[in-house]
Amino acid sequence: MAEHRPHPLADEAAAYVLGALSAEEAAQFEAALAGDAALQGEVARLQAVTADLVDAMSAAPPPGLRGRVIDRVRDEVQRDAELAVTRRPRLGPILAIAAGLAVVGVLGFAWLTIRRENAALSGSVAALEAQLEQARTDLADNQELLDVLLAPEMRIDLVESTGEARPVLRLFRDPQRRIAIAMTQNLPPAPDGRTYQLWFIRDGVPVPSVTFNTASDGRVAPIRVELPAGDGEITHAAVTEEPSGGSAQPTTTPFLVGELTR
Amino acid sequence: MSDAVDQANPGDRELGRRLQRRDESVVAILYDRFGPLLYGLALRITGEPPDAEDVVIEAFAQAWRDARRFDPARGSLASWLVTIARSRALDAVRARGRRLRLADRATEAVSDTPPGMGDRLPGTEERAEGRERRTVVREALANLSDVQREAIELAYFGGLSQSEIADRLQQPLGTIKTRVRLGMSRLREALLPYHEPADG
Repeated sequence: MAEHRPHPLADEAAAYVLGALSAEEAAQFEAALAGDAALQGEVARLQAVTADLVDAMSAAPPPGLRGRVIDRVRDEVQRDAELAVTRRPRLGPILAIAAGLAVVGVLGFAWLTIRRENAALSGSVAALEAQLEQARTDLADNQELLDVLLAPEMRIDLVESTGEARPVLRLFRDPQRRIAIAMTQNLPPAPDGRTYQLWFIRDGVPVPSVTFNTASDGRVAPIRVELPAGDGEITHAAVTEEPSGGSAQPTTTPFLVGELTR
Repeated sequence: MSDAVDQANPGDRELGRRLQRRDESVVAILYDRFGPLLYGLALRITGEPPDAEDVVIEAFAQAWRDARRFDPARGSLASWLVTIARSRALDAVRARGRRLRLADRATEAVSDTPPGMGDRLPGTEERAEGRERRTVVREALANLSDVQREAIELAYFGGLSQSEIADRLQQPLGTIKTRVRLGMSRLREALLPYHEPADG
């Protein structure tokens, strides 16, 4: 049962979880919270109440909202891609200015300029750090891809159609780590508002996996796929065309189906 | 967020990881899982379905942009998303200069919202326990004194600080603080059977 004597900061705790402290009050409260286990417990219990209040408000969103959310996030994805291209630090002008300063040699002027350039360099450093972070992520992704391809237990599965154009999906699968890399050939891009979705068939039941789309050459950059967790034998992989964002159950007949090698 | 939500969604941590890995396919899953929660909250705060829709859309965009800030050690994915959505909903209402209306809306009694709010999720596999729990929450809220409920609703759904609530209601700040604490304390007692196991 809960203690009956209220914590000295009980008023503040109740207001804190409701977002009713001013920024300054909230900062003070968080400072006190950091070293006070009893207060942390009190806040956690009150947060559960706030969570229940929100949960009780749940309402069915209008049907079109799902697609708009997915489209909006896709805009963000594209913006990220464009930013990655333009976010190159401009070191050239900075070096030129630094050289110019050496010639002029007016220390006061130099001091002012260096201050300004310092700010510019800080910006460049931030941009470089962002690039470094991205590079680290890319490197980790690539390493994982290599690990799967080089795994001693690696299996290759062909998931293909019987049609003329013979689109095909190749799965490089590491059953030990339950990871696979998927690649496609001859698969034309899905129509607007549609996507492809990979499924694993476990005990005869389709388990949803990643959604993807191909470029105009029918290929897709290697996709990292996690095999479904849990018991049951995964016997097949299949690909369907689905609405953007994918589906929990296939809504179209699979056009690529392949049996997984053991 | 609530235990009910977490238990129904064992993959929260994995979903968070996929969001951070920029796996676009996770957005649809997050929407299916948390869309009603966020939309209901946004609707409660903005009072207008079109505004609530915009809030949900922008909340997901922000979650995508700020995915790296999600820290599972500090709270569930649901509570992180709720924090984002509440903040965007309050911003949206403030931006439109409807602060007074916002505060007015916040005090519309929850118990007066459409009959059987549990019915507001048609077609979802809402578990019996979740439905029962929502009923208990609404009853607990309805059983607060009017002034306690008003203070709590002005704070959470109206986005007012305690000082602002005191000004608005022309009551001493200490009175408002007490109403908030006692109201939350009574809600907590009413919901104790649902929280006890999690409290340990």
